[in-house]
Amino acid sequence: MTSTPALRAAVHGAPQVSVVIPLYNEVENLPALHEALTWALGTSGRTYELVLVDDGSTDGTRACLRALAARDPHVRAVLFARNQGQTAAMAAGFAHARGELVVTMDGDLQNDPADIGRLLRELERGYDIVCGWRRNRKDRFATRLLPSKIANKVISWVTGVPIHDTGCSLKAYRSWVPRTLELYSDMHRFIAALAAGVGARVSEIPVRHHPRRFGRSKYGLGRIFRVVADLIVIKMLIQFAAHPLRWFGLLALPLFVISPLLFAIGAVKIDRDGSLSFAGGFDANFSMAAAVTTLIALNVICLGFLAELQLKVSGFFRRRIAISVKEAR
Amino acid sequence: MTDIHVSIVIPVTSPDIDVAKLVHAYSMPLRQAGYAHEFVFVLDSVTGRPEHELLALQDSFPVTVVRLQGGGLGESIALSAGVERAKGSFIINAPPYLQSEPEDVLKVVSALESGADFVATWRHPRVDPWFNRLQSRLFNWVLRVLMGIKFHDLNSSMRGMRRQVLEDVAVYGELYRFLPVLALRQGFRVVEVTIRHREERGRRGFFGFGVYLRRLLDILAITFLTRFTQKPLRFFGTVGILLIVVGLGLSVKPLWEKINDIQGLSSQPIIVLAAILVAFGVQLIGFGLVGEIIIFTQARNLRDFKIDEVVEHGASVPVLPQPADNHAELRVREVVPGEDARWDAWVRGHADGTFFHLSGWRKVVEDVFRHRAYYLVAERGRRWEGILPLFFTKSPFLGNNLVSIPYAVYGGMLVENQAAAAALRAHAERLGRRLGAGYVELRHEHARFADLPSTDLYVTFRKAITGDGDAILAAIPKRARAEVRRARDKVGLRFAESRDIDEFFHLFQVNKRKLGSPSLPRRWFAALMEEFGDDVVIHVARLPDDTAIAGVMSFKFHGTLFAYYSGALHEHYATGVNDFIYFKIMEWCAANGLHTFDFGRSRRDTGPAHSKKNMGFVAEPLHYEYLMLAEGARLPDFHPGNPRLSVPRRVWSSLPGFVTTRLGGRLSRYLP
Repeated sequence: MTSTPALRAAVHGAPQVSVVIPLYNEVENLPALHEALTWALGTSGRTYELVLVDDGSTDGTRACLRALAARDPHVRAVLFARNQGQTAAMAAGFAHARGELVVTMDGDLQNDPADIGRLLRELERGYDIVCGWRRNRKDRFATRLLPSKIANKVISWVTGVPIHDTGCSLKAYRSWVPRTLELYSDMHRFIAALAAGVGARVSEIPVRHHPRRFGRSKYGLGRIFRVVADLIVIKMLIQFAAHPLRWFGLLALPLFVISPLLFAIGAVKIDRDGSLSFAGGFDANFSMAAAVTTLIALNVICLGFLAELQLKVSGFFRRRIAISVKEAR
Repeated sequence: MTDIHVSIVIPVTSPDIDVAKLVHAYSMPLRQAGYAHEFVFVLDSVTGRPEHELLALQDSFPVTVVRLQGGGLGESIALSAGVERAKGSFIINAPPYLQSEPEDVLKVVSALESGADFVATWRHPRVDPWFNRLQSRLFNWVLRVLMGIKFHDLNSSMRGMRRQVLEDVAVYGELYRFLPVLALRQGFRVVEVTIRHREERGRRGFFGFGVYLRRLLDILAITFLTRFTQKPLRFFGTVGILLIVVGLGLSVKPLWEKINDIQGLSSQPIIVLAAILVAFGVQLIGFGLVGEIIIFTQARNLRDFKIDEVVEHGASVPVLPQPADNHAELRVREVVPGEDARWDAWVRGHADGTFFHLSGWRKVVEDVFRHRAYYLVAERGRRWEGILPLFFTKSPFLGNNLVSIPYAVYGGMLVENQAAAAALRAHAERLGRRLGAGYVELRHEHARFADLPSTDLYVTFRKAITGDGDAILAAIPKRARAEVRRARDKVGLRFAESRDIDEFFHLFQVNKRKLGSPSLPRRWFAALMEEFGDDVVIHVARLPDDTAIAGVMSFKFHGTLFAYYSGALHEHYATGVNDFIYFKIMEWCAANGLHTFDFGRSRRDTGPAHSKKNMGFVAEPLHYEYLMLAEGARLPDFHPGNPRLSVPRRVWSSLPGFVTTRLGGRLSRYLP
C-alpha cells in the first residue's frame, strides 16, 4: 500500500495526489492558498502536485502563478489566454493531473486545504468519489443557502445519490472517474451522480467552509430552470442512457394516452343524467387531433431509435465499461 | 518579427473610393502618436482606378494590396484574407471611406494597448437619416434582448482586434457583423469605445424584407450557437414546455364545451391546433434529449478549451525577488482561512500552546456565540514567530473588549521572541482602538508584560500523573482518600466514559443554576464535541441504580487532560462523588497514557479552590494581563465573587429551570 505508489512516483515522477484548482482573478488569495496547500499536503505524507489553472485572469494571477511555478516544483500552472469558464478550467486541470488521486477545490479559500487529508483517507477506505459537505455554510440565507438546500434535496432525490451539497467544489476522486466522464457545460455539479451511474462508490464527509474574504462570489440566484433542465438530462443519462428508447417511450406515453382519449371524446355523447352514448358519428376535429397526436408520438419513438443509434455508434459504453471493470477491485 | 504594430485592413467592394485621402487621413494621427503601421486593402473583385492609385501610393506608404478572385465573396472572407497578409499584432478593420473622424482610430488602438482583445465602436452621435438610425437601434435592441449582451452599435464597421481573435473565432457569411459577440463568448476581453460619426454610405431607407429576414435569422442562429450548443435541452425544453402549456390552455374550452355538450359535432377546430402544439412540444423535448445524448457521448471531441501555456518548475520564467527569510521585516497580519492547519501545527509545536489556542476553538466560538475573531500572526518572511488569537466580544455587562481567549482559562499570545510579542501587542492595541474596545484581555499563564496591569484573581491546579491507580490514590491527602474509598466501596459508585451530551448538560446546568450563574448553551458542548472529536471526553459517575450524579467534560491536549466543565447534583455530595470522579479521571489518565492532569482554574480562596487543594493539588497563579485602551476602562469585576452580584445570583437560582436554561444560553454570549 505504501510502497507501490511511492515506487511509482520514484520511477515515473508521477505524484500520488493531484490537486486541481481553477482560478479566476484570485491574486489576493493565491499566496495564502499556496501556503495553506503546501502546509496541508506537505504534512500529509503523500507526494503531490498542484495543478493550478488560470482561467484567463486579468488581475495578475497569471504572473503570480508563474512565480509560484518557478519557486515550487509541486506547482504545474495551466494558463488560459482568456476566460473559458470553470468547467473548461476544471477539464483542463483534470487533463494535466497525473496523480492516482485527484482533489478539486475552489481557489477562493472558502474551502479549507486542511480537509484534503480527510478526503483522501476517506477515499482510501474504498470509495471512488468523496464529496465535501459544507455543513455550516457561511452565506446569505435567503439568496444562497435556501435555494441551494432545496436544489440539493431535489437533486439527491432525483438522482438517488444522497449527497447534501452538490455545489461544494471540494471533492476527491480516483483518477479513473474524471478520465471516464468528460466534463462539459455545467456538468461538474453532477459529477458524483453521473459517476454513481457508472458504478462509482460515493461518500461524503463534512468539511469546513469559510466566508469569502477577498473578491466577490461569482455565482448568483436565478438558475432554477437551468438546474431543472440539467436534472432531467442527468436522470436520463443515469437511468436510461443504456436504453434511450425507454426514456423516449416514457416521453411518448402521455401522447399515446391522450390520442385514444380524444378519439373517444369525439365519438360519445354525454347526457344530462351522466350516461354515455354513441353520438352517431365521429367528430372530425377530435379525430384529427387524435391522429396528429398519434403521429407525433410515433415520431418521438423514432427519435429514441436515433438516440439509441448514436449511443451504439459512439462506443461510449464499451469504453466506460472497460474502464470501470479495470478499476474495480 | 516585424516592427509593424498596427495593421489597418480595409475591404473594398466598390470602385468608388478615394484611397489616397483614406491613407493620408489614417496615417496622420498614427504617425503623430508614434505607432508603426501599415495598410492592407482587400479588393473584392474591384479593379481599375483604385488599384492603380494604391500601387502609386506604395512608394510613400506601407500599403499591401490583396486581390480576391471570384467576386462577391463577402466581408467575412475579405477580412480573413486581409488579416492573413497583415503583419501587425493589432488589426484595425475599417470601412473604405471616412465613416468617422480618423483621429478616433487612436482610441481603438489605445484600448487594445491597455489590454482589450477586441474593440467594438459606437458611432455616437449619429449623422445619418432618422430611419437608418431607427433600424440600427431596433437591430441592436433585439440583439440585446435576445442575447443579453450590451453593445450599442454592432453595425459600426470600424473594429480593432488582436490577431489572436480571428485565429480563434471562425467567421463566415454574415457573421462578421457579430464578431464582438462571438469574441466575447470565446472569452476575449471586448470593450466598446465611442467614435465621432462623420458620414454614412451604403444603402439608405428601407432595405427590403429579404434583408430583414436574413438579419433576423442570423440573430437566431447566433443566439442558438452561443447559448445552447452545449445544453440543447435548455433551449428545446423551454420552447417545448411553452408549446405544451399553450396547447393545454387552448384545449380547455373545447373539451369543457364538448363534455357539457354545449357544442355539437365538428364545431371545435381549435382542438386540432391544441393537439398539434402539445404533441410538437413533446417532440421538441425529445429533440433536446437527442441533442444531449449526442453531446454527452461526444464530449471528448467537444472539449473546446484552449490552453495557452503550461508552466512547470524548471521552465525559464522570471523569478520574482523573494525577501530572504532572516532579514525580512516582521509584520503582523490576520491568518487567512486556509491556514488553520498551519496554525494548529504551530500551536502544537509551541511549549506554551494550549487546547484553547487551537483553531477549532475559534470555529466553535464563532459558530455558537458569533464573536468576531481576529487571529493574528507575526511573520518574518514566511516564518511565523508568534501568534495571538483575539475575539471582539460585545457585552452589556463588560463592555466591548478584545479577549484572548473567551470561554477559555488560558489564552494570550504564543511567541518565539520579544520582538514578535511587541509587534503583536502593538497590533492588538491598534486593532482595539479602531474597534473602540475598552481593553485587551490576555489570559496569560505566565506574566509577560511587566508594565501591564494584571489580575491575580485566579489560580490553576495541575499535577503530573505517575504510576497506577493505587499510587495516585496514595498521593491524595488522607481525608479525600477516605472519601474516594467510601464512594467506591461503600456507596458503590460507578465511573464511565460517555458521549451523551444531554446527560452531561443536565448535570452541568443544574449545578450552574445552584451557583447562581448562567449556564452555557447545550449547543456549545455539542459543537465542541463535534469539532474536536475524540479530544473531548465526558466522564460520569453513577449510582448503583444507574442515575448519573456527576459529570466532567475534559479536553485532551499534548498528554494533558483538562477537566474543564463539570456538574454534580448537590443532594449527592455526601456520597463523596466529587473526590471520587476526579480520582477516577486521574486513574483514567494513567491508563490512557496522559502525563498531566489539569484541574482547571478557580478563584483564589474560594470553595472549589480549597477542595482542589484538599485533593493534593498546588495552586499556581495565573496572570491575566490587560491592555487598557478606553478612558476610564476598569478591570473586569463581573465575576461570581463580586458582592454586588449576590442578589441577582440568588434571584437567578430561584428561577425555574427551563427559564435559566433558555436564558442562560443567551446570556453566556455576553459573559466571555
